[in-house]
Amino acid sequence: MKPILEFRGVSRSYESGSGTQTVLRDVNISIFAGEFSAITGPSGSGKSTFLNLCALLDEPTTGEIYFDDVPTSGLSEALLCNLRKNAVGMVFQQYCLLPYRTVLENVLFRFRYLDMDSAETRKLARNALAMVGLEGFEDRSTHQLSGGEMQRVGIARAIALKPRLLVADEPTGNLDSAAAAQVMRCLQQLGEQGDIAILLVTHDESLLKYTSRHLSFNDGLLTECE
Amino acid sequence: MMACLPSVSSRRTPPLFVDIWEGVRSRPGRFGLSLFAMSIGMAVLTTLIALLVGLESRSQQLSSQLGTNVIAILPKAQADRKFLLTTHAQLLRENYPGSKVSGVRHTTATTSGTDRSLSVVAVEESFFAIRQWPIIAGRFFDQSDLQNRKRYAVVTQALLRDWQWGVGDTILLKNTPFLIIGVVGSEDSALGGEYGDSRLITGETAIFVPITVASHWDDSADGSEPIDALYVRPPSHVPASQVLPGLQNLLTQPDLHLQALSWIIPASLIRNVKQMQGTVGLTVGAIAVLCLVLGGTTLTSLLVANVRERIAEIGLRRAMGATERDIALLFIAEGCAATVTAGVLGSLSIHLIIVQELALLSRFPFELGIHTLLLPIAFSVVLGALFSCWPAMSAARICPAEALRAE
Ligand SMILES: Nc1ncnc2c1ncn2[C@@H]1O[C@H](COP(=O)(O)OP(=O)(O)OP(=O)(O)O)[C@@H](O)[C@H]1O
Ligand SMILES: [Mg+2]
Repeated sequence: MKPILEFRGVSRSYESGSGTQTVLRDVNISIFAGEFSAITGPSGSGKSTFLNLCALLDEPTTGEIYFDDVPTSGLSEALLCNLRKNAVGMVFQQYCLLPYRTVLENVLFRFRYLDMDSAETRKLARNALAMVGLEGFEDRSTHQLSGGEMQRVGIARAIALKPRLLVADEPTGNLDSAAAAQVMRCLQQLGEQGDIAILLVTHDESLLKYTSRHLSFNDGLLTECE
Repeated sequence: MMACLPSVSSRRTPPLFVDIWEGVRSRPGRFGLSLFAMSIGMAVLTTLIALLVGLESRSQQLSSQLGTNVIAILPKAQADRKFLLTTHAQLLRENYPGSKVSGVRHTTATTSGTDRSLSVVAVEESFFAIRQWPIIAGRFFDQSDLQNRKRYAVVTQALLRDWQWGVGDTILLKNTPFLIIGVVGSEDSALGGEYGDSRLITGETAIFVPITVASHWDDSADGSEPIDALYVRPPSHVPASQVLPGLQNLLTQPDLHLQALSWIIPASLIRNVKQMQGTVGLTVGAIAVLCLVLGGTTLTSLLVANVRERIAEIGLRRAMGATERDIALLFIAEGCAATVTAGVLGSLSIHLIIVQELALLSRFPFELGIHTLLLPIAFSVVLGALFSCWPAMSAARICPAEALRAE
């Protein structure tokens, strides 16, 4: 099976006043469809940096990232944007919902930069809301939701257009264990559909029971945990 | 292998009104402030355009109403009015045989059946050729009419309409019968007021009579009679400005005692208007530029603050597949929304004020029209793009991964 995403010798460093800080060192990994991977590691170890590279929002300093075997360093900005909007879904720790829009409008924002028929996008958005258990919440304003519900809106937005790769950076970071469990079950169901790869960053080791693979970062070095 | 990559869609998604509206709505105070400053600038700009265009058409009106190549000679306003004489007209005729010369005298008279006094203008036969008014019916005076002191009258179209006179009718002026032989279309209202001299106006309702008749019919004298104005039209190939110095030399000879004269040619009328245009352009223009720069910088700072506050949203948009261009367009559209609203508000309010207070402002020849609507709005689009360009670029350059860290 071909990986969706493959890192070969990827490192990422930042130039700062005091010199070069290497945040990721020689990362080599393949991510396959159907995997639900948890990424753990201490704060500052490079998890978010890795996730942004996976979501094609950032570029490696050295090495190459292959998306469907295509080296992404050779892709134009337009093609990268296209990949991002068609194939990648993102879930954020702070939910990142637009405050002046309803739940449904927030999910529809997934299609903001896509040319799609509006009846079609509405159908997809409603389906996504149903999948995260938020039927009937369509016209609610986002301030009327609990944290868990907001995060599920965030997930619905990420999966409204079925992504090939779903990245979630600490999606349960602001939630209590019950809400976190609900969000994790959502993601787990999604992963069970088989054709989508999920990358989840978390500090909570108890969530590992939902995931099928465990990656760990330590000071920029990636290790696979059994 | 590339088949699994979606192809680049050529269609651009324009920033939606929703996006703009959200940006406005989330910071109403800031938006209102820059809108206010811009609106004032746009109002001043509209005024400027209305004035400049009005002055431009006034200058065209002036030269067409005086005649394109005519010199009018009048006593200076404060001088004794009755010191130009018919003999001076004669003097000019002798010295400038190719030019047409006519003396003019204004009086008023009542006609039977009404107590309304009419403006009677005593002219020579060349007067109509000088002013180049169209003959609508009948004919003008000719030389023999003047020599024979015929009691003929030429009336303006408006009089004809008001009094229901016709060519061939006889009218009584100061109890003397005059036969109407012609009707003329006269228009010279623009010659009065700021830029011309009210004595150049004969008015829309005037009766023209031969100057030779008038001398007997009015208080008669010895053939050297006072006149109110002199008109000279040089031959068409000689510009008035070229004849002017010679005329001035001739009439200011010491023994004629004619120093205090106004010399009016279309060029000098237009010069007055152009001067006014220059003054208006500079002062009102400076105010407009000041207001617009002020409004524009307020707008820029508004957008810079917006970009800073909305970094997470920018990150989200990039994660949803927005290109750098999409992000730049979003902020440019917000900037343009502010300036175009200001353009519409400013321009409309000036239209309202000018239309309402026209009587009060009539000293200034405002001209409203499609130009005072469309020009400010077109200008506001350019300004919006200009002043939002820099914040939009800086928003577009924000790296999406960094933007999401601000979440
Ligand atoms: N733009 C940047 N410039 C310089 N250093 C950066 C930049 N972005 C991240 N870093 C550094 O890279 C390191 C890794 O950051 P990263 O956000 O990937 O950590 P993390 O594992 O996600 O931590 P946390 O669990 O706290 O979210 C940090 O030390 C951080 O300071
Ligand atoms: Mg992180």
